[in-house]
Amino acid sequence: MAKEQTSVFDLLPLLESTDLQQLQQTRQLVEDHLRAEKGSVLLNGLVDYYLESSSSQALLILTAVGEPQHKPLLEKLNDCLGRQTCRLASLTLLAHVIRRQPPWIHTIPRFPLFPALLKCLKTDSDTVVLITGVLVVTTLLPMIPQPSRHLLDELFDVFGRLARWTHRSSGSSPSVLSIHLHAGIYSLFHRLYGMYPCNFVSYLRVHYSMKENVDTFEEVVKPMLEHVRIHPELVTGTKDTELDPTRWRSFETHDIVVECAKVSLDPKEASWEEGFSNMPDVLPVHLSSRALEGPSLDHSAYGSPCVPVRPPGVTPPRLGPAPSYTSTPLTAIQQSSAVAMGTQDSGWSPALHCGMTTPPRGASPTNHVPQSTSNLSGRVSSTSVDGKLTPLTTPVTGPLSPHPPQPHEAELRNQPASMAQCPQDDAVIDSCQSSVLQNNMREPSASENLTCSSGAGEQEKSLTLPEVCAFVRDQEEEEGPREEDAMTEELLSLTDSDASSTLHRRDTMFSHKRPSKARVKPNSTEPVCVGADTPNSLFTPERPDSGAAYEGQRPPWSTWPCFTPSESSWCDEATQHAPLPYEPLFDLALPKAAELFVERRTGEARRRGGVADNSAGDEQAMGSAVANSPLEMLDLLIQQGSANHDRKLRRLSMPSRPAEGPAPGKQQQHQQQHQQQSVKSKDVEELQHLRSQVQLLHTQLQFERHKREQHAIRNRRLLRRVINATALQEQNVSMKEQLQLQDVELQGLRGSLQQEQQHLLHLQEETQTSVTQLQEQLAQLHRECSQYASTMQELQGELEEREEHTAHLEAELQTARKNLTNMELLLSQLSLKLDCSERLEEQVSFLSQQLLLLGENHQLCLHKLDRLGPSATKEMRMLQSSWRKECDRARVTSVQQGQRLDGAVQRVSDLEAALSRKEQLILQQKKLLEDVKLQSREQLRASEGRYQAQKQVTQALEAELLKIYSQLEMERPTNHNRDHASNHLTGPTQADAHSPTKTRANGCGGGAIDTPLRSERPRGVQDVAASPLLSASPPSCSLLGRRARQLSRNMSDGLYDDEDEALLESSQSNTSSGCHCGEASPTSSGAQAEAQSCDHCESCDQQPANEGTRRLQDLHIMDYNELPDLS
Amino acid sequence: MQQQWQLASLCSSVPKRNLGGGAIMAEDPQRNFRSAYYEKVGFRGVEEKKSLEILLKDNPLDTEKLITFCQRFPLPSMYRIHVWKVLLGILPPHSDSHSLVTRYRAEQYEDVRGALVTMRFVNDMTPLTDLHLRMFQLENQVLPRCSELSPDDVDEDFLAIGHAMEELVDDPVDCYWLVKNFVSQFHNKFGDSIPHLPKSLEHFLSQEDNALLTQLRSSGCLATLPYSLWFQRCFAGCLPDTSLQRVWDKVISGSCKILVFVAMEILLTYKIMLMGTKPEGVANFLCNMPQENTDAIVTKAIDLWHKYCGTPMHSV
Repeated sequence: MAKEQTSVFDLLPLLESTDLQQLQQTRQLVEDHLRAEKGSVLLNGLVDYYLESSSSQALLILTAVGEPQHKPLLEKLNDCLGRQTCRLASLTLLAHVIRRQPPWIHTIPRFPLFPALLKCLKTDSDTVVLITGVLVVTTLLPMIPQPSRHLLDELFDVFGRLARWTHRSSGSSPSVLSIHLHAGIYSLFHRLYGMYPCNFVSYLRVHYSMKENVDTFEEVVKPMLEHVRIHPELVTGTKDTELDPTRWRSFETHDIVVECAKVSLDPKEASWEEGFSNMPDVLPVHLSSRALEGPSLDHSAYGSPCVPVRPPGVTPPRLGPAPSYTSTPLTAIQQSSAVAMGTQDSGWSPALHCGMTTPPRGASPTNHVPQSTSNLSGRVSSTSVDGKLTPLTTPVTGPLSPHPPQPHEAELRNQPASMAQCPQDDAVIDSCQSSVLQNNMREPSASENLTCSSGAGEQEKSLTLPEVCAFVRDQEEEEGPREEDAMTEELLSLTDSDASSTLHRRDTMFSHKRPSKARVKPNSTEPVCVGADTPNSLFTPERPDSGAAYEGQRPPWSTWPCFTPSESSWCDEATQHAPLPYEPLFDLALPKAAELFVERRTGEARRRGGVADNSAGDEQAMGSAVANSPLEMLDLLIQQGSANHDRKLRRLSMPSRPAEGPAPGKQQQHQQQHQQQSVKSKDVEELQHLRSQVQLLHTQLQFERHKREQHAIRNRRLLRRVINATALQEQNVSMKEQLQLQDVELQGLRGSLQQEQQHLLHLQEETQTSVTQLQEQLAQLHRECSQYASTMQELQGELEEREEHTAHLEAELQTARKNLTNMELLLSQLSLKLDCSERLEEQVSFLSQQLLLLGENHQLCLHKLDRLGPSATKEMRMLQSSWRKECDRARVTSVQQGQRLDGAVQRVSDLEAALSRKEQLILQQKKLLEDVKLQSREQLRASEGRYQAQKQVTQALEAELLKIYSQLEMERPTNHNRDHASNHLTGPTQADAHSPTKTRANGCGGGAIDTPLRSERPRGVQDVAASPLLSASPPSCSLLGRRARQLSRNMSDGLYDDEDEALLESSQSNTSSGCHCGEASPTSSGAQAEAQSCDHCESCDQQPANEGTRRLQDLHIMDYNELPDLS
Repeated sequence: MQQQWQLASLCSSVPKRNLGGGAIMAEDPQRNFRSAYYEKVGFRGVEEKKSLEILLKDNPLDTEKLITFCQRFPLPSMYRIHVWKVLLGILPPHSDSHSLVTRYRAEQYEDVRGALVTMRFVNDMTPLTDLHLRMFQLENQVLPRCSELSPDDVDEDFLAIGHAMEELVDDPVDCYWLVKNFVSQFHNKFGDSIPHLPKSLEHFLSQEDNALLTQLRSSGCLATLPYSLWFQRCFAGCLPDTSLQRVWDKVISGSCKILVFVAMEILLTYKIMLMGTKPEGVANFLCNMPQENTDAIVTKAIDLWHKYCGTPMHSV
């Protein structure tokens, strides 16, 4: 570790190496080590190294120290601060560190470094240290906006001591140092006043109310108080609210810086933007621009002895190319200025200032020159406006200027450079300050032109200030050489700028200044000028436009050259002219003190005229400058320094030595070194003095540069807002245009609506009139209609009449037609008759001819008759009579025949009718017959059925009978086997022999046979004895059988009577049908008759007879009767 | 309404001299405005009776029309016997010969009966049905010998029919004749088709209720159904008289299909009972059927018959 440490320490010298590669590596190594280191050994070593060598690389490393390492650094610095020898170096280092604004910067008050610093400031007596410390504190104050009351008191004490020191040292210490010290106090004053006005003012009041401090106040503090306006916090705030930690919460460092600058009236220090508002965010652009205008106008208003009159005729000749610019911007500015001091201006428009519409740059000079007693009062406004607006305008006016070639040429040359380097954002608002400087140079010439120009003559006369005239005269005197210088300078710068256009802006600036002549140097050493150079080059393109407008022959980018030449010319020609360029600044910064200043200046001029020595002049100039502004004094000092340098260079013409200053590449230091060298050669003491001066200048420069950076940050923000606002403005404008268009449209629509309404009314009237007309017409038509209706009715009545008439006529016509047809019929009949009559006539004629012929014939016949004689006639007569008779007879017969025929016909018809009747009858008969047939068939069927049934019954009975017989025969062998065997056998044989066809006879026989059977049945078993007899007898003879049957019938109950009758009937029917043989029928009939008679008598006589005997008798009779029967 | 129209059309063919009937009915709708409501209220046969009277006034009777009428409409009971007699040929179409034929019939009856009595087949104590059976046998020459008479030799079908007819008809002569002619006509006309009736029953049952048929077939009940009771005896002894006569109306008028439908309707009506019973039980049940709602069965059967065989149109 220790080895490493040592190795790192060994590396430290390498930081000074010229080899970039090595340098880089070494730095990287050291940084890495620093970061990795836990202790503070390396850091301390580094600080020591820096303090020894003031190496820039070490400085870079130290300023980039991070969060954990800052403590040892600050402790180390605190240590170093304690030592007298390295106090200055450590302060410088501290200043560098603070300017870097590390993130831990707010913790500084907590470290012992800060009280040590304050203590140092209180106690130290070295001016350089004091100045450096003051600047450090001033820089630090906005970064730590919440100090404790104790700290604040200490700060105030520091201020008080330094002020007293300044007052004391103003006489003793070297003037240059005092100026620097003054400037430091001045900035501290501003910072304290801007940040803590109440506390500070109360401190001042307390501190300077003491007797011993009155002188200090008069000499030092009062002029400074004159450079500030009253702080609004003095009105609204208290000591406590100032110390409120929330007060600065929303503010950043640059905001605080600007806040402090706002209360300043020093044109170098002051920032007019935002007026006195404490709100950093509200419309910064508007406020800034207004703040720029307003105060200036106000200054001119109450600063000028003459009442500001603005004749409109003044401007046109001067602003030939753009006459329209004059009026509008003027009014705008006036309006804005009128309202500026009060609340926010409503009528104010950024467009006017931003050059969106009409850039007002031309107007402001013309406006303000007459107003102010000095030309400078107007310049501020003009330049401010100019600086803001030029970037957006185009150079148009060049050709119209009295000396066009130069601007043209310059324009053409300068444009590439300007195009190459365009950090516009920085420039826009920075120009507020820088343009002041530019216009310092420009304005005198403008005033020259004013006086020269015919139109402006009146204006000038009305303002005739002897001092102004003298000033103008001075300028005129300077005119010639300045122009020449400007030319040369311009050419040089152009060549340089062309060559180094690609480089960074600042480098180009420096590089383009390095080859330039020595008179540039004093300018460049001035920090404000360094800040201002950026917009200067930026605005060059527009410069021709504005410059040509009212400067004419003067190229606009020659402000730098023209600035220095004037001084150089002063230095060369006459020292009395030296302060002149700053007068306008003072004038601007101190409008109240303008008159005093003028008087003083005249006095100075007088003094200057008297003083030949340079140094004396310098001192006097310084003394006067101190009374005005420390910053101006610094400028003066620098200019004087440059002048001295030039002078000494010229005198000594010594070779230049490489720069020793801590800021490499800084032209100022370089030049300063030259100066120092020249001085050193004379005196070592002086060299030391000068070295301290350089040191101070450097410190001052760094301070101002820091300020500038803060402004740059702010400017960037504001520019963004401007752009936004511009965009919004454009939007508004377009919206307004649209609104207007719509308004116009609306108007048009309203007009058309009215027209349409009128048209509608007209149409309605027309329709009403037409309606009334139509109604009238309608009424008329109604009337006509009624008339028509009445006529119609009449006509209809007429029509009906006509119709009736026509009907009548038609009826007549009909009748007529009928008549006609009748007539026609008649006619046809008549024609027929006519035909008939004609035929008749023909017949008649034919008959007459026949008659004639017959007559002739008759004649001939008569002749013949005559010839024949009377016999013929007789015969004739007879014949005639006979014929006549015959004819009569025939006639009669024909009549008879006709009658007969009629009768016959009649008869035929009668017969036919009868025939049809008969036929019908026959049909009916047939039907009836059918019916009857059917009926009879049915009946026959019924009877057939009955017959069938009967037959079946009979068959059944026969079958029964046969069965019984068979039973009987089975029984017979037991009783009369032999006796009746033959009879029994013959009987059936006889019966069989009779005739098989005689079924009825058989039937009768059967019937006779079965009578015993029947009789047996009721009798039962008692007849069994007689049954052989009975069975033997029937076959023997039918007569006997019949008798026996009758007998048995009588004996038996009348059960079978019906059956017998039926049998008889059938036998009768059979006999009647005649299918029997003749032999059997008479016997049977006779037998029947006999039987009937027997039956009757027997039934009457022999009923109570014995059954047994009767049967025997019967048998006997049968036996007897049988024989005759058979026989 | 349709029925009304049919009636009208049936009667319109009556000859013009019988104007008391259909012609007026057809021509004069005011004759009986209630006729439209009879059917709805349930009085059947009011109009039929009238038209039947018209038909019966005809001389000679048109048997065709009577047959059509019988098939289409239920017969009024007061004319039933008469119509049956006419249709069975007991009475001729000519009403003039009715008395004569009636007398013949009566005489024949007495003859046959006398013969039977003579042959001692029957006596006064013999039941009328037996008498009729013997008479029928005698007339058809199938009367067995008296000695050969055996209890087996009894025609049960004839006896059943005769018994049923005896219930329907009071006069024994008429009863005999009706039985005789009914039986003979039935056998003459439908003797060939009776064996096919079981098949027909299956066919219609498959159309009407196939599930039942398959069930019966699978359970074997189909074979044990009392076909003889149904188709040989024409439900005599199975149905009560009131229902039976309506069935016989159709049979006498010439349709034996009605038997099938009655049988089917019986099966359908007692479907649930049949499906859960064994074949023997089925046969037993069907032989001794409950006598309650036979009227409904018959009505449904007639409807089914009309449905399947169609209402027989009047053939002019």
